[in-house]
Amino acid sequence: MIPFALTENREQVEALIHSIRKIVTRPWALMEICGGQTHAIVRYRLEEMLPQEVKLLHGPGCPVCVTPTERIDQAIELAKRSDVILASFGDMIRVPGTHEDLQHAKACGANVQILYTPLDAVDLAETNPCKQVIFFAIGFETTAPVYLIALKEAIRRKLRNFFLLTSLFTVPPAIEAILSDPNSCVNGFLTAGHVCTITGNSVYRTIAKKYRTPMVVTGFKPIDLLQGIYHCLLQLETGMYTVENTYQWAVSEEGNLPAQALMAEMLDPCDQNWRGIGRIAQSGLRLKANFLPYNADSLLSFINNKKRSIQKQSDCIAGEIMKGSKHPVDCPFFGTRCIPNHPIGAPMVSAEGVCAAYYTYK
Amino acid sequence: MCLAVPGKILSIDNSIPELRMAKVDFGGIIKKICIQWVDVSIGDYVLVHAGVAITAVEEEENFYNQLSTTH
Repeated sequence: MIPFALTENREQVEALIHSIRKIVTRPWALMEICGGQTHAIVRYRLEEMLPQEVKLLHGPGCPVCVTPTERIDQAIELAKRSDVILASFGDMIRVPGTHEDLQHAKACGANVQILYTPLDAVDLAETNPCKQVIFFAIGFETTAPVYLIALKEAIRRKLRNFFLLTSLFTVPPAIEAILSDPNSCVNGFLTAGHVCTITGNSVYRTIAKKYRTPMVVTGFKPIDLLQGIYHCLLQLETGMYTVENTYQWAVSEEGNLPAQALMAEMLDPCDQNWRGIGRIAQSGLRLKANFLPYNADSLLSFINNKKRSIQKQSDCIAGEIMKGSKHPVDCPFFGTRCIPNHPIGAPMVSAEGVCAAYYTYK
Repeated sequence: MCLAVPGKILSIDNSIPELRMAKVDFGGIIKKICIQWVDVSIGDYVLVHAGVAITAVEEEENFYNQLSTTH
């Protein structure tokens, strides 16, 4: 049955489902690492349209969800300073730190502002010269260079009160971590369309070859996702493992070269902690040392550096869910103690997290 | 988080060469967007993420219509 919401592309959807049913002969598990795709898959109930043999697994595709609690705590501490304006995107505001979230801090008087673009924070810094304007810069490769364009503009305007508090992640090391896990059951990946718009496809070619795993660049509409799923399954059924681009509307082979050049100029790779998963080597990005005056970490050194109480959430199975070995409904807290307003684990934290998507649409 | 929305370029402001900007129409909502990374003219479409055009694109409807005839 095709849900009502898909009637716009009904013929194409039906043709693709038919093609998928025709080629699948055995069980396969595909994973996407993109919150937008997870959201669309769950919202449009795509898995229910596929043959039973095909399982869709939802990787750690939401940078808001995987930002470590300590980083959220640092943002809240900074926001509470009377000389600070802390700006970020709307989805960061509700993410719980150890004791509270930014929304609560704002209600208690902290100057927290939700902006459409980091470029607006540059204007904010210019019009508020007595304040330190800090943009809480979270994201994957899609968003990282956008923060850098803002920082470049702040430097051009000779502003000394603009800072980035970064929590930046790169997707390929996470894919490698999942594929290297002996318990991994992922057969193929749908790679995130807009991440690839920036990075291009070459890094995924190396991974596809090394792990003999198909990687299909996929978009966000139901028709895009089914297209990606079809091509990934076709590769698996025919024993191929290459990179295919089914989102050519927005992704070129080489990606966005000026954005890549900006990242190479201003960012260094670093080890990064993923909330719910743990440390993944070289899976993060941080500002290069020569941009230290704009790095909000330099403001943190003045904050009481007491040992932070890191909540042990041993009962939460977020890690297994994001690696694809468990499902949200396998978690005893799902929908009971862990809900979007009171998330326990990373995937319930933002609307794009897999648990939040299941909670909303299932 | 990596949401990107296509829009049509209405006008271009090249007054700051390091930060070329454009007025972009998103189905009636008009916003100022940075077009530093894309080579575009008035009437072209761009895909915009967090206020910055990350790539030039073909008009979405055209592209998907072509897709349906070639599938």
